[in-house]
Formats: sequence, C-alpha cells, structure tokens
Amino acid sequence: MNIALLFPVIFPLIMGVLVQPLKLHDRKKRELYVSAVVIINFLVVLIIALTQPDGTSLTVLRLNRVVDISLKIDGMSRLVSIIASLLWCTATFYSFEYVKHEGMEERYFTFFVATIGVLVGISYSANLQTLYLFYEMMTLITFPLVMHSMADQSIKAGKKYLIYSFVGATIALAGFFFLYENCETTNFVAGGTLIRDKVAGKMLLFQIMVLLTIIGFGCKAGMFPLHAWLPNAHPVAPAPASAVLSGVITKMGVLAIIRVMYYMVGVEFLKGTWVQYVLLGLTLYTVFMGSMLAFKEKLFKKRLAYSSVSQVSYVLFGLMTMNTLGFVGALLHMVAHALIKNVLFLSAGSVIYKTHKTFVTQLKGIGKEMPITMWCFTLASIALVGIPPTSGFESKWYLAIGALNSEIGAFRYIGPAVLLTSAFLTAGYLLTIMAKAFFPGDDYPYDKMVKTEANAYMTVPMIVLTVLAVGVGIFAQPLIQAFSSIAATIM
Amino acid sequence: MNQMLLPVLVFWPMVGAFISYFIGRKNKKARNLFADAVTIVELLIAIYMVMVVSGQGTQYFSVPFWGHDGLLFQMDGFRSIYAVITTLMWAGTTVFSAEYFAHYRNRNRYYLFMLMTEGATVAVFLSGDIMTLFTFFEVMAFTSYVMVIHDEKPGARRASDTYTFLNVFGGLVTLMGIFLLYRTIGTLRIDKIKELCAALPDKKPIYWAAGLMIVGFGGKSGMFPLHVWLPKAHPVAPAPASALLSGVLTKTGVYGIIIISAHMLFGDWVWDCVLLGIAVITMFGGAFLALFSVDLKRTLACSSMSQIGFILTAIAMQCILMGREDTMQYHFYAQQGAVLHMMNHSLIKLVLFMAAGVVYMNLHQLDLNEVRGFGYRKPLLKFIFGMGVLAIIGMPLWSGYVSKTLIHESIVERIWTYHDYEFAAHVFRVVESIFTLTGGLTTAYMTKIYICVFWEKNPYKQDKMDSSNKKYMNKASAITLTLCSLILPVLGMTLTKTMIPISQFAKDFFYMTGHPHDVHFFQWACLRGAAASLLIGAIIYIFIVRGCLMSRDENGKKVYINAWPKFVDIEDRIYRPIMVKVLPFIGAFVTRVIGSIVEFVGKIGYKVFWKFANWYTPRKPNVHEFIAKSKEWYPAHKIDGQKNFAFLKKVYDTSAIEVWDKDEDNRTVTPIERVPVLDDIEDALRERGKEKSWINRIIDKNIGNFVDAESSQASGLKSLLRQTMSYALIIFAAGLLIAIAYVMLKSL
Repeated sequence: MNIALLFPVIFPLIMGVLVQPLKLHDRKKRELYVSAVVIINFLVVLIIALTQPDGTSLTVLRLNRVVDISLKIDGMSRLVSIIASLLWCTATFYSFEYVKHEGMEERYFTFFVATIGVLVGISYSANLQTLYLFYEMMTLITFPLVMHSMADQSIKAGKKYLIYSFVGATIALAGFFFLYENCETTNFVAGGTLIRDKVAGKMLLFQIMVLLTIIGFGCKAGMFPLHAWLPNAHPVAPAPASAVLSGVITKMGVLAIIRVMYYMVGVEFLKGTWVQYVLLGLTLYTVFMGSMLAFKEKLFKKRLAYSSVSQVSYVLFGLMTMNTLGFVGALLHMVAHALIKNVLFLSAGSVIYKTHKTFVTQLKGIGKEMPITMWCFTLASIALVGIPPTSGFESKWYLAIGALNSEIGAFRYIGPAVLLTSAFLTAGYLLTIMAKAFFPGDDYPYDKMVKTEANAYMTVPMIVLTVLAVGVGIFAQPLIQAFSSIAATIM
Repeated sequence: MNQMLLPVLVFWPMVGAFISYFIGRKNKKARNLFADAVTIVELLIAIYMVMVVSGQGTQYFSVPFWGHDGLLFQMDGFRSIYAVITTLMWAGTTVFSAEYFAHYRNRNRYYLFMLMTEGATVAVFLSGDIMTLFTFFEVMAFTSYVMVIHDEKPGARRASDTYTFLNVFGGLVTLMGIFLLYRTIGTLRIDKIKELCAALPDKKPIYWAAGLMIVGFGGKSGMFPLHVWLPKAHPVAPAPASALLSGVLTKTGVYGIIIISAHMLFGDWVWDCVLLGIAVITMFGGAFLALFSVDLKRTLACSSMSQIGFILTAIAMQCILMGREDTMQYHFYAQQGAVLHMMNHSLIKLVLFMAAGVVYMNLHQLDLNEVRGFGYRKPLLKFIFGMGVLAIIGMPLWSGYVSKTLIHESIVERIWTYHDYEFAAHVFRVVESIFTLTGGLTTAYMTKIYICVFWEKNPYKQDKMDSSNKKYMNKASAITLTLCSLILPVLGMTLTKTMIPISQFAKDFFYMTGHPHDVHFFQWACLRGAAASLLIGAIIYIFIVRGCLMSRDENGKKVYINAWPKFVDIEDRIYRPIMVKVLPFIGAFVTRVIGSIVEFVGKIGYKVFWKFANWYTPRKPNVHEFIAKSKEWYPAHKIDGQKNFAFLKKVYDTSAIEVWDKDEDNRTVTPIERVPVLDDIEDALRERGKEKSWINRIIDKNIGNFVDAESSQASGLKSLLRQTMSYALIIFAAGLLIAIAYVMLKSL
C-alpha cells in the first residue's frame, strides 16, 4: 500500500484546485467541502503515520539520478506531517469565520487547501530533489495567502516574501549540487551519506557550501540574515494564514535544515568546526534580535511575527548543538511553538476581527470583553515564555541541558543564557498585553462593557490548541521518547 | 495509603478553586462557605499528615507521567510543619476574606486564584525534587499576581508589574542555576543533593548554580537587594492577600534558600559568609525602612523584610564554620531559631495583616495620620494587634522571644568560640550588635504603629473613628482573628512542649544530627538580649520617632511625617530606568543597526538585480513618464473603450467627463464639454500620491491601452502575479541553469 503515501499529497492539491470550477459560492456547501478535505487529509496522515513502518517508500517518477521524485516515511516525516495537518484543521475552521470579512473566500480556500498537500509532500520527501520541488511549490502556493487582502502593504510584503524565499532557495540549491556530487545518494539516510574521501581535499569548500545551504533553508525559518521578510509577510496575511505561516511553514525550513544536516551531511562532519560556531552564533543572535524587536513593536500581529523569528531560532539552536538532548529539545520546541504560535495568532485575529484593534496599546480591558480568547492568549503566552508545566518549559529544558552537555566551548553557557534572556523579553512583550487585557484598572467602565466574544468557529480551535500547548508539557514523556528514538538513529 | 494524601493536599485546593468559581457565578454566599470548607479540609489533612509523618517517618509520592521527569512530593518534619502553617494561614485568611471583600468587584476571580495559589504553595513546600519545586514556584508566582493586582488601582498595577517582573526574572535566573546544578550532579532529588554536591572535587559550578538560584528565591523572600517589590506590593494588595504574601509566599523563597545553603553548599564558609552579610543588610535595612514608614501596611511589609533578614541570618549561622565538634550546639540553636522564626513570623504576620485589614476595611485608609485613633475604643482589636506586636518585638512569654533568643544565642556563643581568632570574633560581634539594634528598631516601629492606631486619639476626627465601635467586624472574623492571635502567647508560654519539639521535628531537613542542649530561656543570660532590644527600642521610639519623625501641623497638632527622602528609591532610581529604558534601548539599537546593515546590503543586491532583470521585462514608466505619455497618447478624440472612460473617471474624479457624446458611427467619442486640462492628471495622481501602488495599478491597467492596446489585458492579481513571478522565475531559471551546467560539466 505504498501508493497511499501519494494520497495526502495529491488529494488536497486536486481538491483545492477544484474549489474554483465547482463554483462553491454557497458558504455552507463550501465549508462542508473544505472541512471534509482537511479532516480526511488529517486522518489519512494519521493512519499512515501509525500503520506504515519506517522506510515505507514510493517512487513517483524516476528518470535518472537527478530527476527522482520519491516519498518515504520516517520519524521526522511522521512528526511534521501530523503537526501540519492537525494545525491545518484548526486553522481551517477558524478561517470559515475569519475570512468572511476579508472577502474572496473561494480564492483563499483554493490556496489554503492546496497548501497542506504541498506541506505533506515536503515532510514525506525521500530525497533532496523532491524536498526542493515541494519547497518551491510551497512558496508559490502560499504567496496568494500572504497578499490576500491586496492592500498596498500586503502586496509589498508578498513581493518581499517571494524574493527572499527564492533567494534563500537558490542559495540552498547551490549547496544541493555540492551535496549531490559528494554524497553517496541524495536520498535522506539517517546519519548522512557524505563520502569522506571526496571531501577530504576540499574541506573548506565543503563547509562553506553546507553553511550556505543551511542559511538558504534558514530563510523560511526566519534565521538571520534572511529573516527580514517574516515580520512583514506574516502580519499582513489573514490571521489563520499568519498562524499557519508562523506555526507550520517556518517549520518546513527547519525540516529542510534537519534533512540536510542530519540526513545528508551527518553531524560528525560539522561537530566542532567553525561552521557550527557560526551557526550557533547566527541562531542565538536571531533568538535575541527577534525578542528584542518584538519587545519594541507596537503592532499586535507584527509583534507576534517577530516573536516567531526568535522562537524558530530556538529550534535551530537546538539543532546546531548537534547533541541528542538538544535535538530532542529542538523537536519539542518545534511542536510547542507550532501549537503556541497558532493560538497567539488566532487570538490576535479574533481580537482584530471583533474589535478592529490592531495595536497592543489599544487592548486595555479586552480580557473582559473577550474572556475565552484572552485566556487562550494568556496560557499560550505563559507557555511561550516557558513557565512550567507547559510545553515551552519542557522544550527549553532539553535545549538548555543539550547545550550544556555538548562540546561547544563558551556557547555552552552563552546559549542557555541567551535563551533565558529571550524568554524574559518574551514575558515582557506578551505578559504586558495580558496584564492590560485582564486588569484594566479600577476606572474601567464596567457598565459600558460589551461582551464581544468570538463565536465557536474561532474559539473552539483556540481552546483545542491551548489545551494541547499546555498538555504537551505535562504529558511530555511519549513525545520525548519518540524524539529520542529519532535522535538515536541519526547520532 | 497515607502518601496518597500528598497529591490531595496539592490538587484539592486547585480543583476546589474551579468549583468555587462556578459556584460563585450562581451564589456568592455559597462560594464563600465552600472556599472556607476547602481550606479547612486542607488544614485538617495537613494536621493528619503531621501525625502520619511523626509516626511513620517521611512520606513520598511521585507522579511519574508528569513533565519529563515526573513530580515528586515528599513530606518530612520540616515540610509537614510548613504544610500545616500554610494551610492554617489560608484557612484564617479565607474566613476573614468573606467580610473583607464584601464590597469588592471581581471576587470570584480572587477566590479562584487564591485557592490555586494555596495548592501551588503547599506543593512548593512538599516538593521532593527541584523540578517540582520550580514548577509550583512559578505557578504560585503567576496565580499570586492576580491576588496582588486585585484592587487594580494605579499603585496596585505598578506594584504588581514589579512583582511579576521580579518573579519572571528571578524564575529564569533560577532556572539557569537549576540547569547548571542538574548538569553538574545529574539529579534534582533534594534528598540526594547534599551527598552529591559534597562529593564534587570542583565546587565552582555549584557556586554558580547557588548564586543564580538565590536570585529567584531571594527575590521571592524579599532579600536585599531584590526586596523592592515587597514594600510596594504588600500595602496595595488586599489585606488577606498581604498576609499570605508576607506570611507564606516569602517563606517559599526561604525554603529555596535553605536548600541552597543546607543542601547544595552545606557547611561552605564562603557561601555562608556572603549569605550572612546579605541577611544582616536585609534585617537592618527592612527595620530601618519600617521606622520611616507612615503607612500601616507598608510598615508591616518592611517589617517582613527585616524578619526575613533574621531568618536568613539564622540559616547562614546554621552551617557557617561547621565542623568543630564543640560548636555543634550553636548550629542547633541557629537551626531551631530558623525554623521557629519562620513559623512565628508567618503566624505573627497573619494576625497583624488581618488586623490592619480590619482597619482598612472600615476606613479605606492606611496612612497613619488618617487611621490614628481607630483602635482607641476597640479593646478586642487592640488585644489582637497587641499580641502580634508583643510577639514580633520578642517580649518574653510570647513566641517571637523564643526564636529570636535562639538566633541571638547562636551568634553570641560563636563570639566565645572564636575568642582565639580575633577577626572572626569581631565579625560575630558586629553581627550581634546589629542584631540587637535591629531588635530595637523592631520595637520602635511596632510601638509607633501600635500607639498611633490604638493608644492615641485622632486629633481631628476621633468621633468618626469611634462611630464604628462594636460593628467594625463580624463574628466570624472576630473569632478567627482572636484564635490566630492567641496562638502566639500560647506557643511562647508552652515552649518546651510545643516550640522546641517542633524545631526538633524539622532538624532532618537541615542535616542536624544528635540532640541539642536545652536553652534556659528565662535566665538572665537569655533575657539580657531581649531586654537590650526593648530598651534600645524605647530610646529610639522616644527620641527618634516622637522627636524627629513627628512634627506639628498648622493647627499645632503633632502628626506623623514621612521623612524618608523620596528620591532614595532603589526601584525608581536604578531598576526601572535600567530595565525599562536603558537595556531595551541598547538591545534594540544594536539589533536595529545590524538589521539595517543587512537590509542595506540586500537592497543594493536587489537594485543591482532589478537593473539586470529590467533587460528582460518591459519597463514600467514612472508617474511622470506616464503623464508625459498620456499627454502624448491621450488627446480627447482618441479615447476609446470603457476602460479608458473608467480610468478617466477615477483620475479626474469630476463630473466633467460624464458628459460625453458619441458621434454617428458610434466609434469615436468627442466631449461636449472640454476635458479639463491634462495637467490635472498630475494633480489627481499627486493627491492620491500616498497610495503609490494604486497609481502603479492604474498604470498597469492602462499602459496597455496607451502604449499597446492589443496586448496585455491583464489586471489585478493576474498582472501582479505576472510582474512578480517574472523576477522570481528569473532567479529560479538562473539557479536551474547553473545546476544543469554544473551537473553536465561534472558528468563529462
């Protein structure tokens, strides 16, 4: 039943495109159709992840060594595909309500539904060519989501997004040729397949190429220096789209980096080299920079976007420690951040949707008006700061212990210190919103207050994700075991 | 079976919190009673557990599935004592809350978070590993935040900002310490820490860990220089919350410091000397601040800081210079003093803050000049507050005397031990004299507020003060307060039956073995210290408080003045400017500069690329070129088609162009009125100049009509996609070309 792997990739793509010719003008019908597609897709992904053993593969098209499109299942693809399709379900339900006021719903859902197929494609990719193919498709297919509103700002941001993404991907492509030449195969094999003899003479070139590849893929993950598109592109998209852009799409960059570092090159080639130190420095700087700018930012969604810049680099930092515990921490933070950032963007979205308040300074007393939304926001903020027992704490624990246990010189201590500084700033830019929202002061006009809580389409996805974001921290052990077993195969 | 009660102790109030919230939405009275029931049941369970622990020894309970390493609850002597005190304080304040909060808003919220905090606080004291401790320490920090900010007045909001700031900051710094500790010894089980730390050849990481961890715990306990939140938050919080903050929450910090001092660095003299120094500053500084305060609750808050200093002194003395057999007794004194003073301070502050709450409940004032004379004709309140005052100033026969004497003895005896070592003896002599002086200050500031509120008449409105006689608190509150206040003398008078066994019960946690000698509390040697403190206190009160801290107002009446210089405020002068202004500015400045450098490089690259790309794509004219072109291509008679018409309408935004006529062959259009001059296009565009992309879109739409009417009918998203994609595709194609070239070259 290997052919089943193709289903979650192709099905949403076709169904997404079909939204246009089917002319689903009726809202009820369209909602039924779209929700059926994403739920079926989620269930199929779940069934595949649970039933198919590691290494189940499917060659879709193979002409020669280069043109080789094939899919494969392993630990990483299970993880990423489940996160993506789960978050797609919640974001879809949220979109039903939210996109009403954005208009052009058919166009929105066309691209929104199709994207999940591409994302599953990325996570199922068995080799770098396939991954690259889907990676570029992802950029193109999410581009209309970014500039959905067609306001000047979003058009500008959309262009920036496209250009940065392509520049990043092209840089990564350059690295691909090098890897193609020097690896036994372009397939992803746990632990990497780099041929030692081939790179022996040109170690410096090899290191530069790997660095470039990682920086190139790091563009999607918002890593410095190719991060600048993210704070522009994420806030202008409709809230559910920003949620998945920040929560899921950035993770595809992370996945690509994991594939290159751990499944093609192999970390023993990078451990202790200057490449590792440069990457550690870049990720830590990004962690700090993102939080710092978020702290200074007054626009609600832009603040969250800067926060994503910072938080995704937590994940990257965990990868760059090249340590089992750090790797586990990175994957944990990947899950935690995906859930949390979705909640944050969705709750910001419902505030904007209901009250049209876009600046954090306007949010005084919003917790009284929209208690469920702001409760979700608060719990998610606490999780993002990394207060136990939430998911953000568990991931931070592993990241820090991983850093302390690895052989990375002074970064061993600088790393956790920067992570905690950033967590402190995170508290500064998120908890202040909470304080203002719930404690507006004794002069708050309670008698004039209107309850403007969003409806179930918006609140239920937020509640589900918030429960997960906190629950994953309390019941972390199954995840930790699963991630440790992934880590064990590659290190 | 009994250990099953440990998680019940922790989670029962948390479950009760939510139940009480939902009851509270229907019925306030029932909610209050339910909350009372929750806390009293909790108290009974805690008392039962003390009996279990004393009978069967330490109890453990672990929750293995929680987090990455599970939770571990442990109950030994010290922990069980503190569980009882915590639950007792909660029961007392909860009963009192019903009356205190009668006219407050958002009471349901308060009850919800108050009960949650109880569970978390008990969990901190029951923690068997540092992960559990830290988890609930943080939960407690966040839930107690809601208690502090409950009033939502500007002062409360500011103070709770500081409180949360210190909590989060301290929490994260502590976490860093925990990381280091875990990396160094590989476990966080509290009962294994001492052994493993002692076995380490290199103590350096442990010093680091300890130094980092004390930031969080010290901040919570009100240790200098992290005490800033304490004098601000306690006065603005509701009185029951202040009692809990001061009585219990600060002790969670002390609990953490005990773990550092008596477990991680047991008997390490460097650490103990540093801790002793900080403790002495805290002790004296708090008392000094309290003396100047003219706010009833602020005085009590500063007093809390000072008393925490006493406790920390005892903790430092407990294992300082450990190792000589002949000094073992003094370590015992210090350990007993630490435990008993923690307990006493909790109970005393419970009484004092609730009594202050009664004052506030009636007057909604805390300024000493405003509340002066409130208790003049209220004997019950006078008695209750008096019990607290006598206990805290260390009057013999009250509980405070016992613990203070023990701490004092531990210092005095040390001076004798080191008579052969001048320097150490001097150090301890200094510590001893500061200790006695601080005792004097304690007496002075407590006398100040006691005389002010209960013994003096208010010079202006004594009638108003007396109007509330006999109805200033209800029966439930009166009984609770009286019972709480009676504990203090009862403990002090039955010390050999109660206090000493309690302190013995707790000794395992401090790693004290053997049996201490009895202290003869009522012999002159011990009484002397208390007498000195009381005497100094009387002198300070008469000369400084009456003399310098009071002055005559315009009517010639003596009033209390706030002599503390306003600008001496470590929070406003140092912490806030640095944390809110300086550091964020530097951080943001650096990141923005680096960011803009990168962006600049990117922009140059983009410009270069743009020039390159323009060879392949039709160049889009800018606005001026467009206007020039439109003048050239746009004589009125050539206008054709709906698009141009709509465009003109948009550009001119006048009715002038509405008046058009078609000629007979229905193709060429001539205006009846002349089209306004074409220069207006420029104006119209300039008016809309801000929306640059609007102009671009108009240009996109119309450029085809002007320049090349047949081709390029694209519009909207399509044209935009085409525009942008063309560049993107060029990059892509270039990459692909390089790729193919590379592969081909290699395969040759």
